[in-house]
Amino acid sequence: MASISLNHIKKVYPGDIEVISDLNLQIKDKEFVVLVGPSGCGKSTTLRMIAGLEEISDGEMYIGDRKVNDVAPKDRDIAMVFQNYALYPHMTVYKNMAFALKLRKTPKDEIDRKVHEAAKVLDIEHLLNRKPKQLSGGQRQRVALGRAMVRDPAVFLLDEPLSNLDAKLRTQMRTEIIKLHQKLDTTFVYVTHDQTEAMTMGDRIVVMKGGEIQQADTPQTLYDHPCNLFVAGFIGSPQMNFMDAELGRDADGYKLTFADQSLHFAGSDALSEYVGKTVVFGIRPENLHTSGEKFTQNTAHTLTMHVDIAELMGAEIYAHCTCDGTSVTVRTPSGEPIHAGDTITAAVDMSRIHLFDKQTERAIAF
Amino acid sequence: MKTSFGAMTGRERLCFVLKYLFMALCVVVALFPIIWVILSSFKTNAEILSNGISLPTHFGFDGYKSALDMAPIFKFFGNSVIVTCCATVLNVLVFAMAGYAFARFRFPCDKLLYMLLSLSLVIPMTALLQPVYSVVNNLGLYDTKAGLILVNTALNMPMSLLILRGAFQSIPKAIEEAAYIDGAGFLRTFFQIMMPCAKGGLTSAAVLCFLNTWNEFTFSLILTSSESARTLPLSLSYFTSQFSFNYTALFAAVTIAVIPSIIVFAIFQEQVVSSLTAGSVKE
Repeated sequence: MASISLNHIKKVYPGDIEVISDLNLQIKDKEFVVLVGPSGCGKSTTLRMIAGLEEISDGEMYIGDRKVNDVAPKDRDIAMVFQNYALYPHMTVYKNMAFALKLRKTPKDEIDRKVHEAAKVLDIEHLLNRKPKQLSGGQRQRVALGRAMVRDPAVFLLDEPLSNLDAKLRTQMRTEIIKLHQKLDTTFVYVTHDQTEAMTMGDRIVVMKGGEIQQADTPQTLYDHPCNLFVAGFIGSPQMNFMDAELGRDADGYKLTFADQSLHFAGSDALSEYVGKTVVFGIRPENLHTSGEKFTQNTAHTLTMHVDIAELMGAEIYAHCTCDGTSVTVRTPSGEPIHAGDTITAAVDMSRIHLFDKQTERAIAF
Repeated sequence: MKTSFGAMTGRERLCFVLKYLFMALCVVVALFPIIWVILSSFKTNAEILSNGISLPTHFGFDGYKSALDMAPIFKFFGNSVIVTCCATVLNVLVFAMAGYAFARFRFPCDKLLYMLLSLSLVIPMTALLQPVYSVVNNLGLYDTKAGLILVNTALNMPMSLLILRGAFQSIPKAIEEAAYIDGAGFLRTFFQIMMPCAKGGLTSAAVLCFLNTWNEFTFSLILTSSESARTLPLSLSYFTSQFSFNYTALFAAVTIAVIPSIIVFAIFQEQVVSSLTAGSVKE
């Protein structure tokens, strides 16, 4: 059993700097949870508190059934992979991996077996006699993973382990870590500021900002139903488009009025309290269509915009446009004849629009 | 950058020549006294007195023989080795611990304490002579190697502390955190992980302490009186008595005294230089 339970966790640094005020999170056994958020959001602090490297100012933390507030890192049955790998520079790869086992007085032949087993999984068997400085970034990362693996920990903690790698290697290691999780079948807590990593790796993503959890849910739910403006903007690349609009009623539902254009949709009664007020309208770039079956000429569902830049990404084009004075990104297949300077009509998939309260920034259900 | 002399313009050639002339001058200024002393140690006294800078007509070891006759050089050499090695080991061990504490832990008045300790770097040695003499004397350590070891350990404190604190600061904190998570306690983390990581700093602190202690003259002079504790630099005073000037023996003794420090520095100089400039550029 290696579930993790954080109940009303608070972290105050000397000088009364409160980085986490009241954090509640339940991580299930064998779950892969990703903590994601901009720098300074408290995600690393949370991970370090789970590791026991930071004291908990208030609240209770359990790993399994055991309260670990005052348990030393070494007695928590955790392993951690650091952003800068933190390999012992004076030891060979083998010794780096064997160090923890040696301290636990594991028999020599068992150490040897475990190290070789992990090295085989990570494909670093040929590097066992090298020192860390003779390894490339990707190899060091594997060694760091191996060092954590050999211990068969109940919980695996990973603190931005891929951020020092180049883009290609990062994608590759991402897959490796997912495979590793499947193979080891233990609880993983992974910290990153990269939403792509979060989306691709986690069973569940915890989006944090300013020391508070904004939303904790599966990647798909976060993407489809972000609970507020921050989550909506943070998850997804290119990010969701936001435009201020005035909500009004019309014959068969509601309308959103921008500077010169408007959109019409059915909506529910829940929206009635926002009528006459300004709300934030959100639409993901891929839900704006310039052609295809979802494209329509119906002006009630289209927005006309001016293309500033058309970025060809290979399979797709990201068209950065201006629509009624606001920047809007449209994502279309690369066959589309879209060029900078064009004026285009984009059909809005009205089933995919998001509305947010301008004051509270919370999503409006409708 | 142009590498071939032929490809340079007149102005560049002039700069090139001047640059090398300047460097040659620096080398001469630095090396001449040492080479002069070493060469002179092979000459006879008469040769030295007749022509100070001539090469020896034949290489003789008479100077060394008389040096060993005139002063208990072996005894002093042994004392120097004991005092220097003990002081170096003690210095590095104690100030590695202090440097680690200053580098990693925040405690009340830590900055003030560090500043006070560093301040001793600017106190002139002459100002320390009397107080140190009194302390050593009252501790009953006058004319003992232990006294000299303690004094030399302390004399090298500011420099060692500066180097070692810097060395520990430059080690990523994650390394010791990894050790804690791996199950190492505080002492094991310090001795098995942090000390090897700070090897560069430890070496240069040790080398500087070694050189300073080996060459230290003033405190050895005032804190010792008998052959049992006196160190090698003091042996040189045996050759400059009022009426006799045995230069050859003097130079031979000087050569014996400086060779160990030259060897030590030659082996470790790269490490010393790199650790003194550590942190000045991002790697």
